[in-house]
Amino acid sequence: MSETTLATHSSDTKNDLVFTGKGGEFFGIWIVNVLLTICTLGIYSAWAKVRTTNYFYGNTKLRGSPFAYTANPISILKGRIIAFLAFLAYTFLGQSSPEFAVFFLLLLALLAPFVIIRSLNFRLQNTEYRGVRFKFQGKTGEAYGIFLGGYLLVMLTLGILFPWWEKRRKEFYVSNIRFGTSEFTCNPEVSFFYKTAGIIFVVFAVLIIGIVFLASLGAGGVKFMTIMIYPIVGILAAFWFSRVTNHIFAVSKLDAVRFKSELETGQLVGLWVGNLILLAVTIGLATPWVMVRNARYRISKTTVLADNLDSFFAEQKDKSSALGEEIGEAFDIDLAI
Amino acid sequence: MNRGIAGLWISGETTRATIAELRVVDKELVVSDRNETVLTRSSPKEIEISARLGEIPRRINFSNGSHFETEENELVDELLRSCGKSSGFLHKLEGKLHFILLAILITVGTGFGFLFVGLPYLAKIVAEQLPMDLLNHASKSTLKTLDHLVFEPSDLTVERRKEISSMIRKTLPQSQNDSFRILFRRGENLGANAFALPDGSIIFTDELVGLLKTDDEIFAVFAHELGHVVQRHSLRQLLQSATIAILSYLVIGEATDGMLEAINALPALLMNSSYSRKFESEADDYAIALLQELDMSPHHLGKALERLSHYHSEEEGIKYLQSHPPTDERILKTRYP
Repeated sequence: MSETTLATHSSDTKNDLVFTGKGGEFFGIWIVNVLLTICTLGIYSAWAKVRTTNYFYGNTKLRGSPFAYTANPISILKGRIIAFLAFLAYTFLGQSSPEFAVFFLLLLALLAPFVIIRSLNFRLQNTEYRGVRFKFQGKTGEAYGIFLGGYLLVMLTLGILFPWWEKRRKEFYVSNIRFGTSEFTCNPEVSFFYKTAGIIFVVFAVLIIGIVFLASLGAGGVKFMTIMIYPIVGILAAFWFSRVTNHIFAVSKLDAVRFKSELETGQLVGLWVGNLILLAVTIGLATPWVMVRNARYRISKTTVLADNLDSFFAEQKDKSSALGEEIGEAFDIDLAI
Repeated sequence: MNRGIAGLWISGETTRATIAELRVVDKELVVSDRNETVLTRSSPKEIEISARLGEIPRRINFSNGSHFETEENELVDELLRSCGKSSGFLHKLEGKLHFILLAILITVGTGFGFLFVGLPYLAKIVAEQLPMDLLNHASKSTLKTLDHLVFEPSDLTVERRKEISSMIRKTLPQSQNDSFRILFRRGENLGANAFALPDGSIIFTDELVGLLKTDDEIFAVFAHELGHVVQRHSLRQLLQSATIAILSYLVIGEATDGMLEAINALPALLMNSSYSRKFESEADDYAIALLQELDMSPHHLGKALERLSHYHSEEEGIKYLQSHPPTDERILKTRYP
């Protein structure tokens, strides 16, 4: 721990993110959460969510210091009650009138950018590292342009703009994060997204043609095809996810701090297959292990490149905006669904 | 306490961490750096110590906005005890092996109990309280969709249709006569079959009418479908699957990352076919009881089921995904009700 205060590092010191959570230890926390959630008919789930997130944040360490999650469970409970009521309304009114179901889904789509902004803000404002808070400063108007406008463009161009849209969304997420008084920047390359999507498209097309050809040879072909489609989609999803994540980390910066993520498709597929087997064999009781496995893999593959992590400043609290903050707090609900 | 607690002190203004030690001096908590310079001090009343959670570092928050973080959880617990506070009730539960085993038993037990007994029971009570016409609109649009996609107009003569309807109405006790209406359609791909919609529409396909040899058999199939209507199976199915969807999100939702999100739907899928089989045998029971009440033999239902099973030359699928119980079992029940 002695290096924490020493500022004399060679340029771009690698700081590995370390995850110290343990499946067995977290199992105890998880099962108590589940039990109390059952006993309170779901109300405790908001407190369980805070305790769980805290466990994962507190076990994620950068230069010996953990991240901290400071959310108020009441805010999460409010968000869950709203989501629950909306779900009930959708289930019942949607059943009795299909027109209402369509109207409801449209309303949900219209609200989505607002909800996304609010919940990103909620999550980041409640994330702290060494006493300095994160913040999300994305504008609601811009979010509407990107999420709804972008979605319409993707639909109108029959998906050709999908890689561009993915790039635009990721850029919007990362470049609007603040850490104290510093801002993240993120400059993804659109050509990278097109290249990755192109590889996926070609591989998928070749495999489908191959399978259809095999199917035309024998009667067992159709069954073979339906069985094969799941692993193929899984592997291609892992390929997309790992490449995009690595790219976004590589093109993001926080002042002089840079990031590196080294996820690998094969390892990710192995992780997912293992998770599926664990969950199936234990009828879901392996959930805590699966969560720890996911976090451990992602975090162990992430590096922070920086000489100095000591000189970020917390934002000064502006006294004149105290009222605005209070109003904001009244709406401070976690709507992450 | 003589030995200090080693950790990091963070001012709350920057991310700079100072290696520090926390000691109790004259009933005050004192944080000092390696040169014995006092960084902050406070009376135990004005500090806030984070609850213990696994082995994640503890945070001791001071009222001036600074905090001290340490991994020495045992020493912090000792400090808390010396101030007369508890180190956290939840943590004690989470760490005790026999409590965890008990929690697993309770969770799995209540889980299964709720899925197979509690939820069906609650759904039945709730369904009985809800207005009778709740799903009428849904029934109309379902019929419209079926007419559009599957059914063709019936080829049966008007006389034959009237004959069947009045046979059923004459056989039934007068009080039941308002709760249904009988419709005829050509089943096309669905072949010989009968359907009940929640608003009381009971649909016979021409193929079924052709297959069944006697009026009594037609009446027996009608009685089965009437069972679905009277016992409000559609509404109960809806209530049950909506509840399971919420529960799977709350319990395993956090473990399903990326591609695995699809498995959130698995519990609902498995349980829905189990519930559906339960409803089918409930409808059989209803039909058997009704036939006996009218001094008719339950054999007619068995005969009809036998003909249907010959007609469809039943492909045995995976038991847990079947929507109906095995026909042998059903026929057996009509012989020994």
